[in-house]
Amino acid sequence: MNINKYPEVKPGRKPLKRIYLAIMLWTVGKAIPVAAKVDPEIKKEFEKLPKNFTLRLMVQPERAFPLFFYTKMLPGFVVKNGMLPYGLQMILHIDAQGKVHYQGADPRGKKFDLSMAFKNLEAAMMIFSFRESTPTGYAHDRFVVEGYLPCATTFMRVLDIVQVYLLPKIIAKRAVKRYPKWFEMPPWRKHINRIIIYLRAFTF
Amino acid sequence: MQAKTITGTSNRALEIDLTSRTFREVRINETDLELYLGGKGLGLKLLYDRLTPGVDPLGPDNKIVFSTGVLLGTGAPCSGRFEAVTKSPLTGIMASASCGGPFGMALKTSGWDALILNGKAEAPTYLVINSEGVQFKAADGLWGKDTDSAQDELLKEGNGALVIGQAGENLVRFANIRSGHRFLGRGGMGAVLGAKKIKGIVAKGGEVKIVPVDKKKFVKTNRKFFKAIEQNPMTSGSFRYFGTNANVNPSNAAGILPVRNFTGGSHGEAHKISGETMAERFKTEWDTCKPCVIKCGHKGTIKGQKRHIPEYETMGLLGPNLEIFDPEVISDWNELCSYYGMDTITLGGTLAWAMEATEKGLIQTQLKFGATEGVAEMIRDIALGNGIGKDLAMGSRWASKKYGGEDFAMHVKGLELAAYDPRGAVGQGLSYATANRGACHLSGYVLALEAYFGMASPHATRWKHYMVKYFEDAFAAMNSLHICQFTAFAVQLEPPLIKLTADFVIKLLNQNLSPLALNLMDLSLWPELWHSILGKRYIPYLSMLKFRKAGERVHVLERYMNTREGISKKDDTLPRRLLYEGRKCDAKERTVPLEPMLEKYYKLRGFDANGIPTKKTLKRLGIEIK
Amino acid sequence: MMPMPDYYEFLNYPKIVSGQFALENIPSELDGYHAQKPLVITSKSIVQRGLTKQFVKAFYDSTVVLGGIYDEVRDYAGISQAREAAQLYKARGCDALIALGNGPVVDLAKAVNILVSENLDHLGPHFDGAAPARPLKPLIVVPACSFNGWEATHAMTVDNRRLVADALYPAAVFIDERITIGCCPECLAETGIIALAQAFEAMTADGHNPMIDALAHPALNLLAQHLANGAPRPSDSSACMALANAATMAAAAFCNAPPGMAHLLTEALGRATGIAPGKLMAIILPAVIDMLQEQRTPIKDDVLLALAGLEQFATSAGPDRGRSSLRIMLTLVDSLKKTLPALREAFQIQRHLLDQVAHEAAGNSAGRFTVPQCLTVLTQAIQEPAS
Repeated sequence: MNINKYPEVKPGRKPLKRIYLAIMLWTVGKAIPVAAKVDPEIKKEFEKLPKNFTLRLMVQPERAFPLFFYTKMLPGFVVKNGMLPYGLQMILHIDAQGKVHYQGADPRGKKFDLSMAFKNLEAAMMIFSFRESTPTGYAHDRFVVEGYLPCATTFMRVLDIVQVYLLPKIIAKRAVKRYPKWFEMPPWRKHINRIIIYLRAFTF
Repeated sequence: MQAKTITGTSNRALEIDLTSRTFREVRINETDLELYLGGKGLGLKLLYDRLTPGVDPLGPDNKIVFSTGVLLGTGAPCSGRFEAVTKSPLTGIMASASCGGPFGMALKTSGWDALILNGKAEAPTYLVINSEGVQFKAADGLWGKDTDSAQDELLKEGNGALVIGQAGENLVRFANIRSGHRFLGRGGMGAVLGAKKIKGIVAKGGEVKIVPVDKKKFVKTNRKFFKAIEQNPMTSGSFRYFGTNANVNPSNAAGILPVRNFTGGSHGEAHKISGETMAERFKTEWDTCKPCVIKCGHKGTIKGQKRHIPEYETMGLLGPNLEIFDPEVISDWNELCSYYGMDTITLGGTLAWAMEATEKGLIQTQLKFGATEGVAEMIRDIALGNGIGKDLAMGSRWASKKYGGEDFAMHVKGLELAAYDPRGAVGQGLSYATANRGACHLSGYVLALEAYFGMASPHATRWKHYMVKYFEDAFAAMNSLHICQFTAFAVQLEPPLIKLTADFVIKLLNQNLSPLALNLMDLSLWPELWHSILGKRYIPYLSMLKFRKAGERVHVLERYMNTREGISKKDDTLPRRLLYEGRKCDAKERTVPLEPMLEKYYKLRGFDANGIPTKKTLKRLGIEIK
Repeated sequence: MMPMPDYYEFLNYPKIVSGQFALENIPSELDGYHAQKPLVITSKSIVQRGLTKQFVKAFYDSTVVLGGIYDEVRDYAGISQAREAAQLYKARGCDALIALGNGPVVDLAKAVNILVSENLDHLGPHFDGAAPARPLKPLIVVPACSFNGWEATHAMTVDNRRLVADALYPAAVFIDERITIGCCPECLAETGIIALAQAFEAMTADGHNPMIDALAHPALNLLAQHLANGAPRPSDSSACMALANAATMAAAAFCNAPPGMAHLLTEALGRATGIAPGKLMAIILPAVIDMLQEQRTPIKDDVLLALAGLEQFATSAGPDRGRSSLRIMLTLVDSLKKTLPALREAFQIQRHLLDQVAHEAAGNSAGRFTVPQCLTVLTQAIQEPAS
């Protein structure tokens, strides 16, 4: 039998989806610390979490998604503060004072108290292209949680609110469990906070 | 007593009911004779009129018809053959077999054109046939005897006898019937007789003389025939001096010799079993049917005994197919098969399956490729129904259904492949797939054009469907005359148009415009013989077309009878090994591309997409739909 | 009311992942078994339909390397091919198996699994009775359109011999619409009718238990909803998914129940004639149902509930429910007549074979069915209808 008739198959990559997800995770990562400052509900949620707490949202398998090639060329502070998207992870750290920091996508040298991982790239795409809402995605086992589960639920509530801020209603409705009614989030508060988040997250 | 003379044919058939031990004379319809010619065609028609579809081949409702044909007894060249048709216990569909030896002549010269057996005898019986009818005699003393001794006994009562051996008595599904030194080989007809408890049939013979109606034309045609046979290198050269094993070397060269259960197509040691080697080694002499002018049968001195040299199929399938290249050992096994009365082709195919199955852990036997140990014992076990021999006696299809290894059971419709690998001649692959009795090489011997004569490209599929249909019709007609198929070499290749045209031109024409090429072939010698014996008016070319149409009729009738038993496209296939596995002897490792050829074949034949003859086709051929 | 049996055993092992992007979960599933290099076993028809390309795309962006795609399987699973695939497996250093396809493909993958896990050259010892006991290498089944009903179970048919062992359950079954999309209406109809027979027989078998009912009930329900409309439309992915799920559930229920008459007769007749079991089921199942109707065999109410839904169940009187459920079964089979016409060759089955088939089926039923019963059903099945 000639085994060369059946060659090994090294599956390829989907670079465009990787880039898209990197940008989405980076956007959310940049937005959450700002949202934690401007929205009282998010602030309350983060107070429930312990201090000196590091969590991440990532796409599995970790080995398949190394940091983007240009990461080496970026200055250290850019990488440390996540000023540009360069990987498929989103790392958030709550310091001793309870302030939320976005720490980029580099997991090296860090210890995580909560790790939420999308099982594969398509699962992440389902959530981040809003074909499935986050709670439905969780019910479908699209992502797995390592760590303290109540913290994960807290984080998902935070994510819901941030998505309402970041996305127009027509998209956010598909992404969140329940779009808040006008009396829960008055339009004026939503739009003002939205402008603040976009400005502060992506300018400095 | 002076023999009575029959001019033409007697049109008498003897129908015997074994259950009630009665017999009656049946008149053969003139129309049937006109449409079906005699021999195989007439036998099939007689069976078609009587056989109910779906019966058990080994039950009392199965019938077996022995049909002699118009030529037998007249002294026409190579006409010492007769045909038998029945429902095969090996395949469950129609089987027809042609045989030489003395029985046919004895039956015809007892004044009977055909013999029909119905029912089942209560106890072992043998039949003695003369011009008056039949006598039923107890065969207790013969039951359990081998074919040699049983035949010797029976021949005391007549000129020709059919006899079965222990294999037939034990219902080995590929048991054969012996007539002299020849056999009604394929399809398990021996088991049909064994199930009917008939040990043998003797025909007194010598009671009538058959003379042709138009003696002058008959003699003239005979002369032309002899000339053609003497001129043709196959009939007057290879086969005459080296027997059918003259095919071994050309098959080896063309890569169509079966090696190791059809995993290879040629072998370096094949020359050891070639006709040329054996002629020299065993000092062969002729041992032929009468009246034969080709004289392909030979006997020689093997291990100090005078033995019939095994034919090509036996050599191929009990030789390279099992990786054995010692003709003496193969001759021993051939003698055992003759003794017990078993088909060597099916035996070879089944043994090869058993060897490969043993290798792959599916069964436990002593058998191994390339080793002779255990083979003779296994042949005995098969004939006598001992141990796993009982399962192998059912043929490789049944055994592979039970034990697995269906992917290397080399059969089509249950009948094992002959000793030609169609991966080296794809037209023959189509022929195997569409042949009515199973993987029969004699249904349409297209491989001769592809592998031996260079008149068709072995791997091209274009027009192969036409070639297969042409030869199937021609051979079906030949078997209805009845005349030896080897005369085809002389009849088809000796006419000046073919003889004087270069082979490469024939190949070019055949491969690109087969209908034109094949329709230029002159087959008139055969119908001329038939017409002259019956005194019918012979119109050049038109009578030949009518002859070919009769052959088509015979083939389609047999196919229609098969479809009544459940045959359809799903059965017109080849063993998986031939369709999907290439061989190392072929650099391109080609397989048989059956599907495209099959579709075209069905259209050409007038069958529907499922391979069933349409009503229109049956009507065109004058076959009554039952 | 649900009767509680005195005693029962039930096992259904494989993890089932069904739905959109189910295939992309295979790498993480393999990771759970510490496997990184599966050998894929599939058939040429799957490759020709382009399904292998879709399948390979599901492994993009993972660390899994496919050790090879062995696509020689056609309509027969035999030891020759199992050895070849096992040789490929060892040469490439694979550590898991994926069967992409149905029927013989999955059977071959199971056979290869035994050969490579136990380092054997042939399956002789197992056919003689020794069941594979060790946990075998992880086997993942990705079914394509035509189920024979045994893929996700503990049975394997290799070289016409059936081996049943708990170790043969696949680790996981992934039902993804990209792969289960039908190739032709006949395959879907055959799948559907086999699943229907399996679910029905599992639910009505002696010795059924609550677990079998739990699986057979939704199977019947899905089939009742999707079989008639879904079978003629192989491109309708929702119908294909429903049929695929129904087939998996029906098989899981059936393999825990004693085999029913329709199944035994179909298998025996298929072996004798070479006709595909799905086509034979189309003539045998109605004959079995006719027999049940004639004998007025009591049928559980749950069957009607599964087939017809709550409304019809609630509006039918207690004693009529069994008969109604049989009528619905016959209607469902009839609805497939256009897609799966009973072939001429099915009615040309030689009568002398029926006796042998009836004996085989009765023998395999361990005394639950008699030869005359089987023969009556067979004779009725192969009688050509008057029209």
